[in-house]
Amino acid sequence: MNVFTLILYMYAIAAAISFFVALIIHAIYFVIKIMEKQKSGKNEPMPLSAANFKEVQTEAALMENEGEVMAAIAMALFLHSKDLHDEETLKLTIKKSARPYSPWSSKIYGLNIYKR
Amino acid sequence: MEMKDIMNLFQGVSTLLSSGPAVLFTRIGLMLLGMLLVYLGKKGVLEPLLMIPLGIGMAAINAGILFMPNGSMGNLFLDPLVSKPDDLINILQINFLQPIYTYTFSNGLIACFVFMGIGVLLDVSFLIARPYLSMFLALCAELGTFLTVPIAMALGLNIKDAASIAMVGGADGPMVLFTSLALSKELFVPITVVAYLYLGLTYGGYPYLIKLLVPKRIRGIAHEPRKNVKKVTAGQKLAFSVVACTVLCLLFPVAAPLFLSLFVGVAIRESGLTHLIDFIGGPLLYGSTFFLGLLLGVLCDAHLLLDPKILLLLVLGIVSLLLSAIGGLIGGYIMYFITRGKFNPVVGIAGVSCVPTTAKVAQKSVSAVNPKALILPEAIGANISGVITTAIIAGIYITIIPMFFK
Repeated sequence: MNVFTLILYMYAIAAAISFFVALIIHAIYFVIKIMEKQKSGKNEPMPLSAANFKEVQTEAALMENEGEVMAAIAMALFLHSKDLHDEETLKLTIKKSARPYSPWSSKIYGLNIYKR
Repeated sequence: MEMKDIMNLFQGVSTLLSSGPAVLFTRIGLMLLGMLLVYLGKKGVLEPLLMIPLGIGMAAINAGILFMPNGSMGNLFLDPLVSKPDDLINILQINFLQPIYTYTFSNGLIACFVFMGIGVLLDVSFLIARPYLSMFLALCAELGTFLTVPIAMALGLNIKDAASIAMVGGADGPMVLFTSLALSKELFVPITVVAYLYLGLTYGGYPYLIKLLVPKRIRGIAHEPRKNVKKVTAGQKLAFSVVACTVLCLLFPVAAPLFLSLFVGVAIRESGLTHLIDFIGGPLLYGSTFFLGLLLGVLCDAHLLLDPKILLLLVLGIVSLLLSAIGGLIGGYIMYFITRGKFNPVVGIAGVSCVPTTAKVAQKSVSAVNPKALILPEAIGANISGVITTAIIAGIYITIIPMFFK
């Protein structure tokens, strides 16, 4: 067989296989997407029926009246968000205390306490 | 003490002086080249992970030649030409790098280790997001891999050697090693050395080619953000790796070790096996790259490189890489015209599968003109496809060529 013909054949085979691989990728993407959609669909909450709609409505009304609960949640969230800080001063200082006392240097807690 | 005794004491010098002028100058030249490669690796012009062990190995092998007990010249590193079992058993106990060469290099295991590492580093979501575009660009960027075969044959190589050197156009070191091991056992050492030397050059040379072939106005084209960005899950990537590996192994059993090595890396990455990811992407990949570099350096022996075919291989290697890059850019231009000027043709060069170098080169060249233009997702997709198409072509060459030309 002529070399040029062989090269052409081999290029055609490579192209066919490469696009076949691309097709496989495409198929896998869609099959798994559909499978995941079905799986997540099972976990979704049931739509509201006419029977329990009233119950939900009452609960929502009750929640609206309970202003203290909302205030407490808002306060808790506020305190929590205040406690989180992104920026630190990056200053490491040793705070001077009025009485420089440390238990590390205390003789009371030493291992060798002799009776006098 | 006589002069003869002094020369016996410094056998490296005496072997240098007692060999012919061709070997003498080649040895000195290769020692200097080894030092230059270490320097260029340190400077970042060439890939340091490979070039530093390669350079120092090259300098050491050409310096450390001594007289063997039978009077011939040899070294205590390795002998790639030993094939008889008895000689091999003897030499395995003498040459310190012989076990690594015999058990990992000459059977392609080290190439497979590197490929596993590449697999662990690959994020195939870029390929899954746009499979047809990526495959098209990668196929265009294989132009050199195909066109170099008739060119090499016209220059006097047989088809197996021609196919092996043409694989340099795929810009994938392990693949060149694997193909040349299967097709041209006699030339696999120089072909692999040429391939790895040139792969380092893609980083330095391709930006100039881009500047030459793509006008500044087109180079700065920014891709429009996609409206529906495909969200690719780990499950999809894992399924792709398993199915693609099985199908490709079924089609090309000869190249099955390569496919398995690549896709097992991808599968481990997507399975989230952190201990294995750390091992394959770290010690295994870097350890294999180090020994690959060291062995390639040690294989650059003056006697081996004095083969007249070496010059031809050097020329064909660069021709193949150049043609592949041009092919990739042609693919990029085709997409540019199809999309009516919305696609940046520089992405095409990333189809040359030197992961992730060519993708980085493409993005860098575009960013130099338009810092806001982001082409990396498309470029990495084409880059990963390049690895797969090169593996497919290696499989085709190893399977089909021996069928027609025995």
